[in-house]
Amino acid sequence: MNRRRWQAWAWRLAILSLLWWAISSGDPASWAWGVPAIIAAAVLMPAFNWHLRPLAVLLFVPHFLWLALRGGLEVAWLACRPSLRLNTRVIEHRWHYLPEGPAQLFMASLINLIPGTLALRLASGALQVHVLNLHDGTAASLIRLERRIAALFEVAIRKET
Amino acid sequence: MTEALHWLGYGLVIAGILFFLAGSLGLLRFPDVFTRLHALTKADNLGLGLICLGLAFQASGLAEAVKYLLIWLLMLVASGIGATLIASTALACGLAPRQADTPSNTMTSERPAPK
Repeated sequence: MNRRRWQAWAWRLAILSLLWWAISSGDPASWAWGVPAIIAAAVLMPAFNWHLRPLAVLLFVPHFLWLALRGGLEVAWLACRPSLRLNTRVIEHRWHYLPEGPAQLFMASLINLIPGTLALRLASGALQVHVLNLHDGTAASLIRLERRIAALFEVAIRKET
Repeated sequence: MTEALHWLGYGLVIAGILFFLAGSLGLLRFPDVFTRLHALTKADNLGLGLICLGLAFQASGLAEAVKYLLIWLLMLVASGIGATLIASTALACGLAPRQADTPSNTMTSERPAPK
């Protein structure tokens, strides 16, 4: 077993233990059930063939929260505004950095949660994006987001390209 | 300190409820299924996040606080993936998104004319 596989197992066990601790509210008696459940889940879990950089994930979380806040505020404002004039468009976002696979799926799910964008369809080479209220910066901000996600998945990208 | 966290928790829960209200208003007012998905995925997720954060501040222990944040995380995953599934299914069923430059006389999205 090489080092990377050991690392993956350590991460799995750590995350599952944290989950069990949270679900059981830290009750020490529950670990009698918890430990077998954690080991069973770790064994049965499908293996991921991609790798996230932990530091990049930590840096991404505050950025995501900021985007989620802006997205919620924008939609709330558009919904409450007396006049309902929306500049709704469907645009194509060409993939610049991300390879096909989990990274593209991650971005497609993520843009549903951030300001004004909704992933319609993952086509080869491009992502169809429904934009609630299109403005000048939308396309550029999608490219910026893609670059950030590429940083998250950097290891996987280097391996595949 | 705990007192202050309690009040901060109440403030966050109330702010979360306001976002849920705005999201529901969007669900009623926006013209088609795609724009309504925007209201659901963004405003409601932010509302739920604020409510969970507010409850986490009032939780009796760290484990309980983590549990509230876990609820939000699972909801984010579910609604992020679910929104695209609903949108692409609607598209595949022939619902065209209403766009700003296409004149439309109905409030709902129109199906393309049958061939």
